[in-house]
Amino acid sequence: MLNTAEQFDNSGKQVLQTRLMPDLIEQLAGNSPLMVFDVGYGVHETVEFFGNRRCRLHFSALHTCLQTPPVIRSKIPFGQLPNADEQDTALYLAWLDRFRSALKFEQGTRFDLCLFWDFLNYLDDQALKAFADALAPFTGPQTLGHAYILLKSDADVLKREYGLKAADQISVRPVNPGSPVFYARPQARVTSMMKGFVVKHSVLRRDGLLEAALKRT
Amino acid sequence: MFERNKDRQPEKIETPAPAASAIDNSSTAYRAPATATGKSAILGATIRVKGEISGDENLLIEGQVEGSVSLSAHELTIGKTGKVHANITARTIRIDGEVNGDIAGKEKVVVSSSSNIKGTIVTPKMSLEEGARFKGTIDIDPAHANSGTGFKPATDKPA
Repeated sequence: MLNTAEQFDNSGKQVLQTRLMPDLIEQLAGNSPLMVFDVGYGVHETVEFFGNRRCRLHFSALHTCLQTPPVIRSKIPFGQLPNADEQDTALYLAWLDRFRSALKFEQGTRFDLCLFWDFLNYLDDQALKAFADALAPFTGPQTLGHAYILLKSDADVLKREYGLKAADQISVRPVNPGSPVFYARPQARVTSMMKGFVVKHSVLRRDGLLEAALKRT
Repeated sequence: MFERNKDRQPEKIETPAPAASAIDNSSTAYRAPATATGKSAILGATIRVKGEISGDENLLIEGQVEGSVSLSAHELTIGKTGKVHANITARTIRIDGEVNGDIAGKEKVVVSSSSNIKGTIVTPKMSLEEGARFKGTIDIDPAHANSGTGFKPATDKPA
């Protein structure tokens, strides 16, 4: 399905129409308190949207974790080929440690809704697996998620900050995080690394992003 | 030559500005308790406090506070120059400056774009102003709006 809907609100802010979010919100209508995990900063729209119901909103601003990626120094003597698997494992563990430090929630916390926005596109494979593993203890069988997945590396859809303006409207602000490294992947590859999540529905947007509604397996 | 001052009102007595004075745009001296005038006491930008602040009037903090702030029935404003390293409780709270601590607004919490907050916010009504970005946790329970005391944060669901 191709979604071309895009508009601007009265203040000139870009607004993306979403056909998937209303279904997610409706499914969570009876949850109280609604437990929401947002990988980004809390912004005006998201707080206003959820502010009329009993909820707990966690804004983790995880992009700050990506500014200086972990560096794995090889212990192999100069001249010998490094073991790629060992390096991957070391990188995974370094990311896992970083995300676990960033995702410290009260014991027993289970999120109903995870707003990943476009965060997954900034994670390499090891970081993506580590993020999913660090988040896993705080999700349950009923947890839902929302993400924008980058399918084409030439799409001009990065450096954005998202907010939930209405059930069917997502606000977008440009941000300047420098020159972030990003990774375009097919949907199946992303979900294969997102422990426990599968794509429930997806919508291919004209701008090259795949909007995905996620649920736990 | 003395006639021209005959209608002048007697000047008000000037008192030295205390650490906590009052906002008064009329340039006259402060006398009435802030709670009676609807104005706010001020903790000025050069003032540093370590300890517990509590009271029965509105307060604007432009200085530095380390400890706790409790104004259960009144308004608390953390001004742009304010730096508060404390847990704070008030009826309504507006944050323009820095807060490192947990924030409990019994009616409402307003966070402006100039704020810098590290901590958990608990309130029935929350407003993040346009341009503001928040990292942390917000507990919202609209059912407790205007209920006065007894507001408790939402508890996490059991595993």
